[in-house]
Amino acid sequence: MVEVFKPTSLAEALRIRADKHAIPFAGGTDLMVRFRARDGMAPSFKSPILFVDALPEFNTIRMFNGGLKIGASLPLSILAGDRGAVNGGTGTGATSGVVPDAAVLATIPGVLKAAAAEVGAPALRNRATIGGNLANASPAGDSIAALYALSAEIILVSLSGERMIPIEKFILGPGEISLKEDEIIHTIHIPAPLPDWTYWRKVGTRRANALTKISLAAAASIKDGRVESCSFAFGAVGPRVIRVHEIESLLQSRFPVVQEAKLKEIIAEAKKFASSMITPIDDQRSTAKYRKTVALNLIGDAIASLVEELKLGD
Amino acid sequence: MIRLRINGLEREVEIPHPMYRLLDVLREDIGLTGAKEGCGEGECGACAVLLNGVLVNSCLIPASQVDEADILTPEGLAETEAGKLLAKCFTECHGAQCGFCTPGMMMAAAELLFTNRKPTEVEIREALAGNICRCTGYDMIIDAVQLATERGANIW
Amino acid sequence: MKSISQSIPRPDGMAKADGSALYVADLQFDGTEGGRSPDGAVALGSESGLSKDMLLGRFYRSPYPRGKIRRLQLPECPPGYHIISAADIPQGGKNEIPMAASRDMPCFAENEIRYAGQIVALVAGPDAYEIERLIRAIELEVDETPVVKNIDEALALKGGAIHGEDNIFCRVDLDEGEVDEVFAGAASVVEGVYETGFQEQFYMEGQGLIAWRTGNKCGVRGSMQCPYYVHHAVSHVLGLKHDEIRVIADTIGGGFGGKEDYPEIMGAPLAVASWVSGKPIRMLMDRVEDMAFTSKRHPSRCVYRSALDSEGRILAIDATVDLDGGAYETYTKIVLMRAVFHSLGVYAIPVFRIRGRGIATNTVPSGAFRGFGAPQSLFGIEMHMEEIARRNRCEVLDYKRNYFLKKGDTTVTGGIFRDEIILDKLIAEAERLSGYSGKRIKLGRGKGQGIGMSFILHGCGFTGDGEQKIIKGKAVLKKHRDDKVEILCAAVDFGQGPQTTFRKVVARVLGIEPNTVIFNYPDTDFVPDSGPTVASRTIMIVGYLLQKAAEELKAIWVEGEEQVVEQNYQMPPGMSWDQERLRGDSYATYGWGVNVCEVELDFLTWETKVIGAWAVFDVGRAVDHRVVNGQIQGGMSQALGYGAMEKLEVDSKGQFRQITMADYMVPTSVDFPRTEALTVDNPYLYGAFGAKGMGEMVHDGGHAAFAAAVEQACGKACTTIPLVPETLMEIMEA
Ligand SMILES: Cc1cc2nc3c(=O)[nH]c(=O)nc-3n(C[C@@H](O)[C@@H](O)[C@H](O)COP(=O)(O)OP(=O)(O)OC[C@H]3O[C@@H](n4cnc5c(N)ncnc54)[C@H](O)[C@@H]3O)c2cc1C
Ligand code: FES
Ligand code: FES
Repeated sequence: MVEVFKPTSLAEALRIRADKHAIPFAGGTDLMVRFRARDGMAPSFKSPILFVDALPEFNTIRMFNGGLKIGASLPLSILAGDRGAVNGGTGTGATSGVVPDAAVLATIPGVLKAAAAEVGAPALRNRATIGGNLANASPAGDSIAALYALSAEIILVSLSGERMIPIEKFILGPGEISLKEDEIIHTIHIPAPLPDWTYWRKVGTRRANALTKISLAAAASIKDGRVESCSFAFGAVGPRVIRVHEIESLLQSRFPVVQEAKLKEIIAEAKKFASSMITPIDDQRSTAKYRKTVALNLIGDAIASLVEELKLGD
Repeated sequence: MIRLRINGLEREVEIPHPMYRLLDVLREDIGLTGAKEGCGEGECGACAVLLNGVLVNSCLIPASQVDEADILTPEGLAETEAGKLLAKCFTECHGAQCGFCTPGMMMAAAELLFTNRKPTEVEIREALAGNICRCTGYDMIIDAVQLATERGANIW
Repeated sequence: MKSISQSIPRPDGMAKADGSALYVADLQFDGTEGGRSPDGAVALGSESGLSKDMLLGRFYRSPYPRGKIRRLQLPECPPGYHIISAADIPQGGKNEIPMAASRDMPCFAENEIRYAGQIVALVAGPDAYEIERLIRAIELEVDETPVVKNIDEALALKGGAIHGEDNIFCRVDLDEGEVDEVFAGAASVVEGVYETGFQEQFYMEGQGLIAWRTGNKCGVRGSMQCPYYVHHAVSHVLGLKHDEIRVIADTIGGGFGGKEDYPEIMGAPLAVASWVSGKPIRMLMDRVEDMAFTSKRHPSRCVYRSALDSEGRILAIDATVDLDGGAYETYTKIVLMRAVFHSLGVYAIPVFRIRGRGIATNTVPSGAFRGFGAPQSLFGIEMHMEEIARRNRCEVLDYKRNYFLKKGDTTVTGGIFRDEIILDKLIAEAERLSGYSGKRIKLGRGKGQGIGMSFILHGCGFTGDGEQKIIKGKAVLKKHRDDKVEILCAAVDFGQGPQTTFRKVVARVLGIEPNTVIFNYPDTDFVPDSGPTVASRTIMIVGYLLQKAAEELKAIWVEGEEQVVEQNYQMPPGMSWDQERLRGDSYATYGWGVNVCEVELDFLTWETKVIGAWAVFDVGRAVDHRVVNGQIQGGMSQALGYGAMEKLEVDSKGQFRQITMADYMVPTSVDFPRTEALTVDNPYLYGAFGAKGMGEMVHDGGHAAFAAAVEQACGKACTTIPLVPETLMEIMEA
């Protein structure tokens, strides 16, 4: 029978993690499905379990140097701005009843909020956490695509201290992350400046409670009517979320564009860059061809929306 | 041994396994079979309960994780004024056909109305999006929640 | 007096809403012999199969899809555990599941395997872990043969025939006039191929049964639509007499046909296990097992060829209707009959040839699902009419109108449409609600928006003389001494409403309150065989028997006395049927409907969005508006799911690829808008208060209306469902 631990402090959690190599367990929405057993049998966990949902500091969200720091166990319902969660206490770490500051919630970048809001359905979002979504490292993980677009940094802690790692280095492959056996994800840091424009489009198998077939998360900072920096990240089109840096340099400080023809040219070029990087697969949810075609279509949509934003700023 | 407050009563439960599910505690140990297992994977909402007032799928929660928590099940909801009203509205509007999704729907509807006294149809649909119903096409469930919104002005 | 259609609160609603309704997984032994639940509705004692030491049962299923069984080695069983296989079928019993005309499916695989997941053995015992261990210890050796995954491979006889010499389980052919002659003289011919996929019933409560033995009696209870079907199957497999079997239907969490045949397939081996071991055994399927191995809707391929004259009028139709029956015939012949008999839809076509085939493959045996063949062929004819109208450059509704059936017309089997056909009224209402014709013109073609209309007819009750010859339905009303009236029949309420409507019918005749009428879930020890709860027959046939019984009871009513009246089914006068030649009145009467669906198409992602759904039906008379509209809305949601998102494919072993709720997509509350539902009265003389069957036709047309709307939106022909975005992309890029 597996051992379970319910630490009440971070220090205790880290000690157990180091001694027992226990699996961090937050909302359990991935773990309970992965280790699901048949009727009459207990979930088939083999390693010790470390509940990290109730650690108070894991349930916080706060401003930090113009960016945001999000505790690993913050439930997605809070990021999504679901009514129930904000007004009624939190789901994960439910016993804590933490209600974050409304002013802080208002700063959550649109792309992250929208991505979180499209994860599963309300009851699921009340338990599912951002840290869990990240650590699960599914190429279809919705908050992951958003965090790529936001150039998030992951803060990992262990008894020997803290380290910070960019999300692109943290995620190694499907279900594979750069996490040492004694480490826990502590915080997700979204560095300043928070973006002025974001884009989120998820194509799922239906309108709610659906896993992602393809997604595009994008963000940009705008200065003097020009794109200062931007990012385009695609979900579910390869073994990892794919950020196409070439598109970003293509768009940087190129705008505003007025002529249609020029815009078309830029979009075509952006698609070319993406096309060489996107290598989706056929599976029970969709086809490689569909995923690729739609991913490319979404680039055009996103760039057009960015250009709209620049015009408005004029 | 874990302690839970279930429908207002303190219960101590000897769980056979540390990762034993909350749904099994309710159904097998306490004998509260209102919450149903439709999928066991968090997809259908048939097992929904309120955990410290928040809607969750009890098939995805190890009971030991929520030791000391407050749980409201469909049976507990049914004892409250809000639950009685909702049940009446579901019955009048024919929001329940086979009824298998209904207890979970009641929980989701209750949570919605507790936090949003006057939801729009879109908000109702979104709040119920994690509860699959194969019988009704949802329309009469929406009718029931709308009727409960009207009639329960002083409850919610 | 209030109209019978005026809705009443559902009598079964409160128990379902407050969580007290007991489904098979909820049943707990109450410690008595013959105890019942507090409301008296549910049997809880040991006599009805419950006990403290109820064993857990689980199937061992073949991992191989096809081949001869070389060896089956069962492990040593520890005390208290049982492994049951074909060898355990008692003397006098047969290793066959008896279904309609077919006997080909064994209870336990014995000589050959025909699909991955076929039941080979059943392991029962107290502990799930030990059962799992025993299942893993079973050794099955099979000489494998190449797998037939679909109709094409079946017709190519890949790996040799699975069934007979040609893989054809059954044929249903219809001929009228000289088809070849007409085609030879036609000005033009329009041809189209129309395909539909598998569809999962997706009842929310998985399959679940309990079997037990008391002395020389075998019992089965649980989630089922047809207690007497299970009764019959158990009697056949165990070789027991009628009164040696007891079957109880419990509260059931949805069926849609999925609990018509499967409880026989699952209940027979479970009964054998319980009979041999002497122990009560409960078997509950989890979602994955249920989705992977229980019967689905038959995939279909219909080919329609129409001969047109120089004005574009249809002279003749030559059609084939092929259904993928899966590994065993089971109910395929009857499904095929319904598919063929509905294959010309609501249109009067003077000359036709229709060839229907039920085809054997190595997939899970296809089975019953709401509509039972009609949703498949109606999709074919409706999409074909769209195509012909397009060729003729004329509005499809105007074109279809030329062919609408009228009272007195002949049916495809040479019977007569005896009752008034009110399609024009239904269309007028559908137009009023949806604004169809105006939108159809305004939205243009290929511009991302579209609206489609489909037409439905659905034969009510069993096909042909099934009611008279096979079912012989019987219903009873019993007045107790306290003057409380009890309904005794085998009809099950799986959500479609007889708990409400039957009570209303009886109460209305007797002038009593509906909720005073007792109507428990059927128990074959107490209720007569009023037939299975299928074929849209419940309110029309059984309801009518109850109405007649109530009228008789009213006439002889004596206060304070126990009185029993019985009614037996009689074929309506004038109806005739020749089962050999398939000629005559294939159905006593028909329900009719018009469905309209409006969509928007996203050209970036090829996602469709339904923005309006309307459904107008002639159900005879609605015995309860909310019951009927609830069927209409639920049926529309399933049909739209069928048309838009419910993709179910097979892999290289013929096994389903979408076997979790995360992968098989049914509509959620945010996928489709409200279905505006309406009925127009057209009472039927031999149905309860004028009611006709309607539970299935609500699933007959939504997918075709959707596909027609998508055709308009994308400007291309859409002949295959489901029209998932991946498919639409292929269509639009072709
Ligand atoms: C019905 C359903 C629908 C879903 N829909 C979507 C969807 O639409 N989009 C989507 O992106 N996802 C979806 N998911 C998956 C989503 O719920 C999870 O990815 C969730 O966010 C994981 O969070 P959790 O807290 O539940 O993780 P857990 O299950 O607790 O853990 C997941 C992984 O993260 C690790 N972990 C957790 N916390 C930490 C930590 N602090 N440090 C290190 N490792 C940690 C665990 O060890 C485990 O490997 C769905 C799941 C279900 C069941
Ligand atoms: S049983 Fe828990 S969500 Fe389906
Ligand atoms: S009423 Fe049957 S699933 Fe909702």
